Amino acid sequence: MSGVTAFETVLFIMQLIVLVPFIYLSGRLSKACQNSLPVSLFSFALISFVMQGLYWIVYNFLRPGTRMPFSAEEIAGSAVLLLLGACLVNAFPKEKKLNIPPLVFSVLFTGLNAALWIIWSGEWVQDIVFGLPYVYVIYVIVAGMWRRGFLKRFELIIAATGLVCIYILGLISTYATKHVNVINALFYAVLFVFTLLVLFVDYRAVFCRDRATAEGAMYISFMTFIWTALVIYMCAGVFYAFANVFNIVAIPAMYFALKRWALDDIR
Amino acid sequence: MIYAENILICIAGPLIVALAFTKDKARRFIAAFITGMVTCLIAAYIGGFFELKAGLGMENTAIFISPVVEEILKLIPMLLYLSLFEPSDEGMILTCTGIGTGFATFENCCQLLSAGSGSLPYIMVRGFAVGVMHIVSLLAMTFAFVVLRRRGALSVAVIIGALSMSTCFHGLYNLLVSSPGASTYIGYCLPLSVAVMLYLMRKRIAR
Repeated sequence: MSGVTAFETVLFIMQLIVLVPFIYLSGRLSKACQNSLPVSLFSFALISFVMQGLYWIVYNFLRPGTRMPFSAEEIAGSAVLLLLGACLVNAFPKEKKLNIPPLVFSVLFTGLNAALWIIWSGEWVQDIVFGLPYVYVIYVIVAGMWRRGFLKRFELIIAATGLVCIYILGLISTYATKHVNVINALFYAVLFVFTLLVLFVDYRAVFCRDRATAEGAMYISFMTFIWTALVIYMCAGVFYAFANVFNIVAIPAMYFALKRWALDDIR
Repeated sequence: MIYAENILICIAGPLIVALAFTKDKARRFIAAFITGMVTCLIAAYIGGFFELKAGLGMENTAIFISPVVEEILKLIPMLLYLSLFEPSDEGMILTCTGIGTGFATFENCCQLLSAGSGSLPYIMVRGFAVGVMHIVSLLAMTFAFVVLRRRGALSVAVIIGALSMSTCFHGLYNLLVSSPGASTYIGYCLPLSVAVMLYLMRKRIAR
């Protein structure tokens, strides 16, 4: 097993260590709150995530250094996204009405990501099919945030600028033939700084004491988790392992945001 | 080479006749058992197709593709039963156990006919590891349905979530037993351990 694979496996084990207590805590939370359905769906999403992590750990131990073909792990990955989307839809039932601009955004954004995955991996059908759950969950999140206007104007400008820079640099680094190391370093620097900013906004929203921000914290924490999942796909080698750290850090924020919402929910 | 269709006819024949002389739960279990066997045959056809089309080779197809194909095919009759008959929790568990048992039995019959039944360790593995795994994976999916159906949450997300649990469990088993060494023994112990866990959970779910 190479150093990178070993590091990756350690991170997957850490992910499991983080996930298991939160499954237990969300199970307890579902008994404590009135509207337990979103919390149950969240627990279910975490269980699927554990299964996916477990599969990766076993795969890395038994077949290190080989590329995993299509497997059950992809189904678990899709299930996590769909269940998180379902959790938000059930937590905020008013969101069920179709909202066109967020739908267009989610289709275009996922399409852009899927195009990059196809360029990087060459797996057409797999990348398109498993991009569909992203369309759903991104739509649910963006529609909720759009309707409520959770992000301030300057935050939106920073987010848009950051995303444009990341995707342009990603494309350039894919096709660059000269100064490849410099472009790659710049790409990863922008990507990781942007993700750290997103995580900062996420934790600030989660630990904000204002009761009115409970809904916003939930949307932001779910969005952060989805973003960190997308970041993982953008990274290769040792950066792939580092990107997993962001994903692990985003998990507790989702639980704390859900807990705030669940205990404030008076329906 | 074995003729799986002929084996199916041979085993299913008496069971089909038995359907006429049984009632209620026994009839439902026998029908589910036959459905499980038919599902296993269809899964073998589709698995063979993917083996040729994907070009992954026999071993990789068995490890990575078969769990997904088999669990999706086991899910289909279960979903049909759930949507057409709206069964009770107990009825659902009974039917799913029948489908899983039928699937495992038919797969074991075919494997034993093609590989022989002289080796006791092989028989034990087929019976208590692979066979139990098919029942356990389907029961895990069923328990997820039972719990979330009570809360009115049976949706596409929940179905895919339940499917992910069963495919990952099946996939993990196949992956563990694919390499020689300690992982194989962990794999062999996994289905029975999870079966015990599910048995204990069943009492809590029933409450």
